[in-house]
Amino acid sequence: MKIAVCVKEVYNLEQVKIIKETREPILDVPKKLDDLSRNALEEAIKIREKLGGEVVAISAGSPDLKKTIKEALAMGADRAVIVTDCSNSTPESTALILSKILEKDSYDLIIMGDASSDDYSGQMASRIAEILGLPQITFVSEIKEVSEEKITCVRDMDDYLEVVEADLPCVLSVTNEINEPRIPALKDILKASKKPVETLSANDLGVEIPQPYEIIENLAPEIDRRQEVIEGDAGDVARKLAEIIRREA
Amino acid sequence: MMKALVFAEKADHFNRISSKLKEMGFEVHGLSFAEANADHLYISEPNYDYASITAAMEKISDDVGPDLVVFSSTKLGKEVSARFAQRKNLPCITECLNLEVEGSSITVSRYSLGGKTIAKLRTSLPGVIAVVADAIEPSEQSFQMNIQDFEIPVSNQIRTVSREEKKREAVGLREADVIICIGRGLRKKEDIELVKELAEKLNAEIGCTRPLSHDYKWLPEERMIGLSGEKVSPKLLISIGVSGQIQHAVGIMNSKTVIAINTDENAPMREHSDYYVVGDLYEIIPELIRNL
Repeated sequence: MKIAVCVKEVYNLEQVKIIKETREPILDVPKKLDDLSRNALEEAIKIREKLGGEVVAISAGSPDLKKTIKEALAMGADRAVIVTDCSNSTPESTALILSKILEKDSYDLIIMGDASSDDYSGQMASRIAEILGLPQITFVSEIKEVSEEKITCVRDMDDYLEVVEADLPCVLSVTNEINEPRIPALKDILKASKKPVETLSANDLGVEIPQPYEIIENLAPEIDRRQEVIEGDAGDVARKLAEIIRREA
Repeated sequence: MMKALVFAEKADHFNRISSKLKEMGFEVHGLSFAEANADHLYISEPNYDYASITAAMEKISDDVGPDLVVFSSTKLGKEVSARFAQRKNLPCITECLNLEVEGSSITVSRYSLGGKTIAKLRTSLPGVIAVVADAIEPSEQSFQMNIQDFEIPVSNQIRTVSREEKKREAVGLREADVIICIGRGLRKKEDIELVKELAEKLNAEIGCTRPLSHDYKWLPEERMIGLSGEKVSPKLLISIGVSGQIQHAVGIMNSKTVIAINTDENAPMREHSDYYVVGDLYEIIPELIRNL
């Protein structure tokens, strides 16, 4: 079983601060492998543990990816293929680039998160499946059965749960409830730096990066809360709170 | 006149979207599973298969020649919008909260950086968007209402073995005046009883953060407040044991007053609170119930 996992580097969002006066985000923070990418990797590794084969992490992003991709290798990907010259990519361009990489090998399964936790756009599985002419199973919350020929999954949709099956090769997107991603041990982290990483440019792949839209602004909404801190003995605090609740409710 | 083509599996979503597009001056064409407001509407039997709906939208789009194709930003809508956009080699923006048209370009707003910011994006038409239908206020518009039956082409890319509606309890989070929202500060499921006692005193609805509904399954999903759940706007929201990650905070931003109880004096929840109580919920809530 040959499995590709499309992973994404994201800003460590918890560390992104907002400039109070201008409401602009400060993006000078470290990047990390997205949580949903970890769910996708975990699922791929589990399948490899059962059926054997290879897990390849694939990603397009900034030059920081050379470092970030090690997190995927430490988790258990066998090797990685990365494109490091597309910092300002869009779903449109990322899908083209990843598909070019995926076309070079014949994968049985292509797995990714159902969206990324920064942009939450959720287009990648559909776009890649369309480009490659493959079936897609999105929002997978459980893989019930997988063999070399066929996969059966539970999809967690807005109002219903659905069991579907598809022949391989197939594109999957998984929800973050599908599993609890493993945390690599120190030895896995050390081993990761010895695993092969192929680094490419969008130019190598012959992809011209489309810029389909223009970002007019990207600002934090105004948060204007009083932030009055109440501390002290539980009894006193409760009395104060009761007063506020009576006034505001 | 510019033309828009709409698909939404829910008639309510369809009508919100079509009224907005009509207001903006579009002639509205659409595909739906029930009667809905449009100038030209194709009605088909319900079908939840992405490949079939994509093929149907491709066929209708080839006939109509829309400037803008709009989906409801549900999971199905997002899945189909991206597949359709790729087939047509068009840009696609999902999770749009607002839209404006200016000449031959469209401007949309959507959350970015996990909800920390709202990005305004401009793209030229033709294009595809998926809109969060609940973010649109429906307006009264008059439509031509030409309706015809449509048969969605059958696709077998994937096979549906079974489909089961989620059991939903009717939750009035969006209409509630008072909401108590609980997070991971609660130690165990049984402790929700304590919160329920407080909720009864205040005639409040109970909401929660994503881990409680989706990971621990202590409360049903429809009680989850946040970016991927309900966005609420009560007069008073009491947040108990919630750290205040941005993906959650986005859901409470329209509350009039926010009280939070948290053991950590520097949790992100603080900046989203009007009154921030630093203390142990297990000591404070019983006292609070006594005081109400």
